[in-house]
This record gives sequence, C-alpha cells and structure tokens, in this order.
Amino acid sequence: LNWPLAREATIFLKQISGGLELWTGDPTCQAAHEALLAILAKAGPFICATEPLSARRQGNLGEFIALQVALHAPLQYTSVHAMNAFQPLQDISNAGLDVTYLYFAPSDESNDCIYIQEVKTTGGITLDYAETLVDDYQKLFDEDPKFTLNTRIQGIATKIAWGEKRADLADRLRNLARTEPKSCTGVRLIPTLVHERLGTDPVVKLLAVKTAISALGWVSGDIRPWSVAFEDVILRLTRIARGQK
Amino acid sequence: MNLPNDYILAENSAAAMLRGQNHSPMSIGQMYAIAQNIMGAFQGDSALLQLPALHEEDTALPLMAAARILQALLKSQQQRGLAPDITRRTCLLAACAYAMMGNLPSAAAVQREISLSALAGTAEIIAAAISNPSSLAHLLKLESLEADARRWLEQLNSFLITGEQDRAQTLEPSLEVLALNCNDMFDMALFASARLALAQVVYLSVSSALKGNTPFMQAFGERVVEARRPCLLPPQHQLLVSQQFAERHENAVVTLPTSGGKTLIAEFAIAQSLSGGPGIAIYVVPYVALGGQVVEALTTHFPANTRIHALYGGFKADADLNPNARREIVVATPERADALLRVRGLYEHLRIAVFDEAHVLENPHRGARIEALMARLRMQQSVGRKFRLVLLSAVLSQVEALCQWLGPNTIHANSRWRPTVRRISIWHRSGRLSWLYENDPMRPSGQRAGDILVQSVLPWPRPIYPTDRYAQILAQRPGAYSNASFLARYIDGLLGGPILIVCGTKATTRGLARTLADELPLQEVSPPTIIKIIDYIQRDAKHLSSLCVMLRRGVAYHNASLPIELRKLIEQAIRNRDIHYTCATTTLAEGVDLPFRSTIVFDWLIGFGDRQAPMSSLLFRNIAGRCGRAGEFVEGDTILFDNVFGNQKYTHDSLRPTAQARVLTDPLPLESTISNDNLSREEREAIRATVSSQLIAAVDELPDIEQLDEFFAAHLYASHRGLSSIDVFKQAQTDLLDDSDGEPFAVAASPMRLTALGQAANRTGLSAQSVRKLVGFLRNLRDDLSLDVLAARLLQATGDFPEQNNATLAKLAAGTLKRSYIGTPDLGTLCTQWCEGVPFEQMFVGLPKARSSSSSVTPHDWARGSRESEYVAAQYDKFIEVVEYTFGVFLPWVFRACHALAPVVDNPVVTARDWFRDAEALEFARITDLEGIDLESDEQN
Repeated sequence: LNWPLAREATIFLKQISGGLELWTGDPTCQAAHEALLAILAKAGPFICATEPLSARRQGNLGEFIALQVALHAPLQYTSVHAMNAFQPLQDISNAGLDVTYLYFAPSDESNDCIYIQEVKTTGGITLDYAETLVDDYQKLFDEDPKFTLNTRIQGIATKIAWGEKRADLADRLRNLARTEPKSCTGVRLIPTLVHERLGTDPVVKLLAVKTAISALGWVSGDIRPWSVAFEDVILRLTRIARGQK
Repeated sequence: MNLPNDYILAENSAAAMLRGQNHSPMSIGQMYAIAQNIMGAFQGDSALLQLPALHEEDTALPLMAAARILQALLKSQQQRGLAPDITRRTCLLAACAYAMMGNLPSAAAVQREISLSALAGTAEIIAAAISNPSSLAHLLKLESLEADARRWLEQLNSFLITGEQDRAQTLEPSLEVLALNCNDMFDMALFASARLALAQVVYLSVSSALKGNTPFMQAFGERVVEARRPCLLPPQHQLLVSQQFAERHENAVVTLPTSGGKTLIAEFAIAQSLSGGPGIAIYVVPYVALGGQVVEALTTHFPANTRIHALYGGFKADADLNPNARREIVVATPERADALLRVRGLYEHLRIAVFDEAHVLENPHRGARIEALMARLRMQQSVGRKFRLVLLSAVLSQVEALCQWLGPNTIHANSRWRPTVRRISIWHRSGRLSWLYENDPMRPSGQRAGDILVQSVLPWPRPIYPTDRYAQILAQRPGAYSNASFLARYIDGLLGGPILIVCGTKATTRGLARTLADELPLQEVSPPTIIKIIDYIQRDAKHLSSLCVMLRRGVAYHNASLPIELRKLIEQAIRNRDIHYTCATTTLAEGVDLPFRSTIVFDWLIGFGDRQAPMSSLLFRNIAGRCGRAGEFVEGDTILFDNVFGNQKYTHDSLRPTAQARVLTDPLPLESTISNDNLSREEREAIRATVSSQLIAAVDELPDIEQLDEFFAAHLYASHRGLSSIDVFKQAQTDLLDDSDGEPFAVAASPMRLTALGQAANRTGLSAQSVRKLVGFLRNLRDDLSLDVLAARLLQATGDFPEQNNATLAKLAAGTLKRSYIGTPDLGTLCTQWCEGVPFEQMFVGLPKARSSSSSVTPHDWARGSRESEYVAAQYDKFIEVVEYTFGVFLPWVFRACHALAPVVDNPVVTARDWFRDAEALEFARITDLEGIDLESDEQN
C-alpha cells in the first residue's frame, strides 16, 4: 500500500454502546479534521475553493475517513484493499468495493479473517440513509457478480497472487469464501455510517441495520456496525476536500 | 481446494428451475455463490497442474456444475428482465466456467447469448476471447479494444495459428500484467478464471498438437485452424495427442457421445494414413445428408493436394480415381463403396476405411450389406492387406463383440466426455411432464437413471384414450396433434427453440405442422430465408401453398415428398433459426446436423400392424443426439410424447411404461442383421440376396481361400455374437455352383473360381438369383426398344428383386399395388417424363387415375394449391417415393447391370445397346433425391 497512513497519531476516539462502535474526533472533531487534512495533503490535489462537494466525493471521503478510523482501530489486519478510499478527491466513485481488510493469522490459518466494510455518508438528522447499508450486504449473496462476496475475495486473491506473488495467501483467502452468509465463519461485517453528530441517534439506527443484516442470514456476532460522527459533517467534508481547516 | 459440498444439489436445483420447478429450497443467491465458489477453488496454481484431469468427469464435476448453474441462472435472469450488465457478467462467468474444464463449444454456445460488441473493458474482451477462441477475428475488430488488450489478443491469435510454444509462454505472464492494471474486482476475478481457461486453450491447440509432424499433417492442421477450429475437444486431445490414435495402425471402434468430435478424429486418422503419399481412404456414410456434411468438413480441412470424392446412391463403380499418384478420399454410401472395391481393385492402395454411424449394422434394410462389406475388409486384412478399419458411433455402449470382430488389438476409443447436456423427459397422458436423471453425471448417488429429476403437472388439453382401431385413431388424431402442439409451445416458452418434432409418417408431419401453425400468430416480418421459401413455393410448388401459411407463423414440415431444393431452403432457414418449429420424419432427425434446442418424439412406435414395435433405443438415442448441438447450445432436451395410438400390447395403460422404458434404456450390444431370425420374409430374402452378391465379390477378391463360405461366415460380426450364418453362406455357395440353369457363377476348383458369368455378376452387385432372372430377360430381348418401353419392361422383370427394398415398387412390378394413383402401365410414360424433367406435380396429375379421380378435391386442384386434401397428398407421397427411387436409383443400377451382363448373354440386341447411356439419361435428368432412399417409407412402415 502506497497510501500515507497515519498509524502513529490518534485521530479518533471510540465508545462502545449496544455492541456498536461509536467514533468521534480525538479530542475534537476539528482535531480529527486537521489530521485528515494532513494525510490528504500528501495525496492532493484538493478541489478548488469554490467547487461544491459532489455526492461522489462526499461518499469517497466517507470511505476515506472510515479507512482512517480502521487504521487506528484494534482490527487485526494484514492488508487493506479499497479503491475510492485511496483516491477520495477524484470525482469518480467505483462501485463494488468500499473497504476490505484481510487478516492472515501468523500461526493458525483457521483464524484467518476478512472484514467487509461498507460505508454510507449522510448529513441528514434521521440517518435513514444508513438503511441502504443493508442493500450493500445483501449484494454479497445476490446474483450480480460485480458485488458478490466470492467476486470480492477472488479479485483480491488475484492481486495477492499475481501482484504480491503470494499464491499461498491467495489460496488462504479463497478458502474463506462460502456459499451462504451463515457459513461465513471467517468474514466480519463492518457497516459504517459517517454522519452528523449533533441531534442524531446512531445507536438506534445502526442496531436496526444490524438486525436487518442478521435477517439476511449473517451471524449477529459477526456484524459490528460503526458510527463515525462529526459536527457539521457536510460542511466539514467540503472544507476538507478544498484543503481548508 | 475447498469445494462446497452441495453443488450437485445446486445443479439439480438450477436444472429444475430452468424447467419451471423448484427442486429444493435453494435460493438463487446461494446457487450463484456455489457456482462462483467452485470457480474460485479452481483459480489457484494447483488447477494449472491438472489440466488433463479436468477432462475427466470426476475431476471436472464441480466446474461442470458451476457452468450449468450459471447458465441456468443466466436464462432465469433473462426471463426476469434483469439489467443487461448483470446478464452479460453472468454469461461471461458461465462461459469461463465451461472453458476452465476445456469445454470450449459450450463456452461458445453461452457466448451466443450476448453481443460481443457490448463487452465492457479489457477483462471482458480477453475472457471472451479465451473462452471462445473462434471469436478472435470478431473481437480483434472491436473499436473499444485498448492497445494492450489488442496486443495480447494478437499474441493469442498468433499462437493458435503457429502453435509456437514460445508465444504460448508469454501469454500467461502478460495476462497477469493486464489483470494487475485493472481496478475492478469482477474484472480481477474474471482474469483469474480466464487464466485456467487460457491454459486449456494452449493445451488443446490444434497447431500445437501437430507441431513437428509431417508437412502434410501440418498443412491439414493449418486448414482446421483456419476453419475456426483452433482447439481440439478434450477427448480428441486425449486420443490424438496422448494416445497417438492417428499414428497407430490397429483397427478401432470410436464411441464418443454425440458432439464428442468423432469426425475430426477420423479426419486425423485419414490424414495420417495419407501423410506418406498417394493412396485412398474410404469414408462410408449410411445417409447422403451425413455424407454432405463429411465432404464439407474434408474439403475445408484437407490440403488442396488431396482429392475428395462424394459418391452417393446405388451400386455404381464409376469414379475418377487415381490412388497410384494422388491422395484420394472417397465419401461413399455402402453401395458405392461396395462397387468401388469390387470393380476398381482398390485394396492395394487402400490406407483406411472409416464407417460412420456403424450402428447401422443393425438396420434390417442396409445392415447386411454393411456387415458383409466390413467382413470383406476384415478378410483382406486376414490375408495380409495393410489398411486400417475405423468404426464410429455416438450411440453404442457395449462394443466388446465389435472390438473382437475387428481383431485382438482393436482400440476402443471411448470417453464419457460430452460438451452438451442431454435431458430426457416424458409427457404422460396423466398430465405429468417428468424429466429423468438418466445417466447424467450430476445424478445424485442413490438415484437411478429412470428416477425423476423434476416433474410438472401439465394436463393434456385434449383427452385421448389408447386404441389400435383405425377409425378411433382417425377420430382422435386432431386431439393428439393439438396436445403435441401445446407441448411444443410450452417447451418453447420454457427452454426456447428451435424445436424439432419427430413424426413417423409424412402425413403426420403435415398434420402436426398445420395444427401448430393454426395456434400461432402471424409473424409481423418474415426473415429473408422465409421469403425465399415462399417465393419458391409460389413459383415452383404451388401444391405446397399451405406450407407458406405455416412458414409465416414460424412453422415448417420437412419430409422426402418436398422437392429437394425446398428441403435445402428449409434447412437453411432452420440453421438461421428463422423457423421455430419443424415437424419432420426421422430422415432429418437422423441425418442433418441442425441447431435444434429440443426434440419432441411424437411417434415412439414404428411401423404398422403386426410389425409395429417401439422405436429401438439406438434410434431414440440418435434422435436425442440431434438436439443441443455443440457450439450452439449447452443442453438438448428430448421429450417423449406419450402417444397412445397403436398396437395395444405397447399402448395399453398397463403396458406402455414398460414399452417406453425399453426405448429409453441404454442400447444393448449390436445385433448382426445377417443372423437375425426376427425379420420378415422379405427382409430375409433381401439378406440372402446380399449374402449371395457379397460371396461373389469375395470369390473374386480372395482367389486363394479354400472353403470361402466358412471363411466368410467366420469373418462376420455374427460369429462374434455367438451366432452362425454358415447356412445362408452354404446356400449362397450352392447357388453359385449350381449349373442346372446353364453356366454356373463359379466352379468348384480348389479353391472356387468365378466363371465368366460370375465375373459379370460381380460387376452388377446383384445376387445370383437376380442375375439369372436378368440374364433371362436380356436373352429374350428382341428389339432395340425405346428407353421408356425398355424401362417399363425391365421394371416389371426386376422390380421384385429382393435387393431393392422399396415395397411400393415391388408391388408395382408384380401388379398388386392397390389404392394408388400410380399403376404398372404408367411406368413408360413416367420414364419419359422423368428424362424430360417434367415437374413431379405435373407427372402426378397426368396419371390416368389421378385425372379420373372422383375425390372431392381433385389432384388438379390440389396441385394448383387451391384446395387441400390429405388423401391426395398421401397419394403424392407414395408417387414421389416410388418415382425417385425407381428412376433415380434402381433403374440406373439395373441398366449398369445389363451393361455388365451383356457380354455373357449372347444377344446382339443387348450387346449393341449403350446401357451406360440409358443409365446416365436417368441419372443426369434431374437432381435425384438421394435422401429419399435413406427413408424407411410410410408404405414400409
């Protein structure tokens, strides 16, 4: 991964509530804002100061932020695979993959694991947009191969095998693929909502999302929703995209 | 490699879903995941190391399941109107799954579902090219092709043409580079699957297989590739490359399933046999239509320094052959092959003899000649001739005796690999439509072949009861047509078309087609092929006007009564998929390779009266093999219509299931026709005549063999089935030696030798008894008769010869033909009209009985197309059948026989006559409907 990662600095703070992870800026939203800006500045270029934030960039930035949270989270990942999260300022949004984290256990292959993170970003107070996360996870076992879990695993396995010349890890990754949600013992889901902090109740909404995803056949314990909350989230994302504090 | 353990259940579910039923509570998403999961399991490096194993059913089973599931899901997605992007991706995955196991024809068939120009991006284009290398030419023309993808496709193209391994070795690394340049997970996954498919393409490459072979073989290979067959099928590769089948000299029985690639294997063996230089190869075909296909393939594949000869029809030795100096390949009917071998002394130059559809050995009408012909070839091998015998069949399953017959080292080239799935079902009178597991590799353990895979409740719209009474059959027939029509439309809606409906008689083809057309809407626009047919009918065949109405509704019938040009036009329209439903006799079902998705067998009982019996399982298998043509479809469904008309010992409700089970069962070992006691008197007489004729040939060909009768009998297939034919040979030998009627055919020197009469008889292809009769006729010929008079007299003298198996002609000659417009006195006129090229309908309406007919629809009105009459049409069927055979096949044979016998009859009138000219006057008068002689006629049925 060539992306500049901010592993050393703390950006986000976690709280646990109702089995959800609630992330906020550490110690403030503005502090997280500035840290994210610093990371983005190395990738640049920012959009110009008068350009409005498109829905695509808003989504990309949401994925970028979710990735940065993850990089600080106690996820045991070996590598990260994403597209939009690595190029959040481009006005293109690739469908099919938000963020995937792989974990290859050093001593016991049976502990290998893959995290599938789907991210939605909204400035709305009701957080209803979070419900579309369920659709994203439903696609993992639906009939458009562009979005299925097997496609995702095979695509990444190909990168590992041919790009990183690690055919052994590719085989281990493919071994995690299953044919229905309930048998996916090596897959964890992280439905993530990047949203407005003030006046919202992410716990209720994300628990509903978790329940709905469970109804698709996933084991409830393998679903761990995240809330990533900012004050004035849309304005903040716009400023970040423009390179403004 | 972790594989899902429920993939067979998923495949069964997908097959059931495609047929309108839920097989088990398995969701579409789960089936999809199972298919993809299997593909993933084969994407690793380990799969690349087991390419040949993937051509074995056991190893390939999961991939086979994945491909079938995806194909079924694709159909389902199309029916539900899912977005084109989704169906295209599913299609590409299905194609890749097939290609990963080396099943490139099915990959190509799946790809027919999408437009190549709709492919999105490099990954999809590359995957499409690998799965279906014959699409390369089209793909290279795509404007959307990016530069790096183009370069890669050019490399692949270059390898497939040259077979150079250096090029092959660059393909995989550059494929990986292309994959790493893309960002889409689906594209990456597609590349991963395509890599194994690419390895299959490289492994199966024709050019690669022939690298380092002789220049002749390489030239042959180049032409095969140019004909868009760049890769072998797995069983072809196994035989030709791994087992060096073409290079070996042992006799062989090749029993690959339909579409398993038998013909190309035979072509390789022929090419190898002629690789060293001049010589002759004989390819024997029982059907002219099949001969046409073989000739087309040989002409396309063989280098220009090889001559291909198509020799069809009756006994005739004429051919421009020079095997001393040229490479000659003769594609011949058994009768022509017989004549060539007797008269032309070809054994010295014979390199290989291939018998296609070798199961015809069991056919009561033609089997005896084929068995005897093969026995003569075996006898030649016994005395040291060096050539190879290769028998081909798609439907034989037990061939031990056949292999024994061909010698102790005979190769049995066999494989269960088949590119397409064969599904069999029965639509019962009870209203159940049941698909059976059959011997499909996806049959779960514990299930038997006759167990039901999926069953729908589909009541017959018109109730029918079993009967063998003609009046009751007649009264119920419209209902039966209506039911079959309903079934055809149902199957079309379920599985798609085109659909072939196999009927027992020509009348049934018409009646069923009419019923079907009545129930279908007019097509808004007729395709050009249909317009061409309609133009032809309106110009040259007005009596077929009702067919125009059917064609505008996507329906046609096809039988030997249609003019040959019209039949060809209909076949072309079927090829273009412009005709959706075709009702045909078994001629079409057995002969031509046309793209039918499904076949409905309307008549499963063959023949009439006491001779009626269930269709043989061999015939049923052969018919079933016609649908689901490789490269066009991935599946072929054959549905047996539970027809309840006919002999009650088969059609009674309590007996029918058993009788039908016999039709569906695996064929038993072939029976020898010559030793078959369960034949009619006429058939036995025909066999005696054949044996007599063949023994004459053998006397000439094997002058040093003592006790030839025993030698011949021992070389028959019958002797390897534990049956003795010695009696019929003893009798034939006695006939040859008999001098009670004058000069014998042979003298019992040691060994037996042909007399001058015997030498002449050998050139006729007739039996001793028939030759005696013909000689008697010729000795009494007093005047230089005109052709028409001579033809009429000759037909009356020879029409009852057992060698000719047209029952109508036999009755005509004997003056016992009843209820027919055509009569013995008409023969002379018909001969003249034949030679003058008078249209058949005109000949027909000119018959005295037709002119004086008091039927409500006159033949004249019928011929003008102004009114329809099944009675007149049936008369016309009989007329065509007898006229074409009589003047196109039989009489020329007899004229040539007269030419051969002229020197021994001592009659100046006979000697002075140019019999060849007479034969050619008939043969060249018009394009003879040689396919007509393939047909077991309605009369005989």
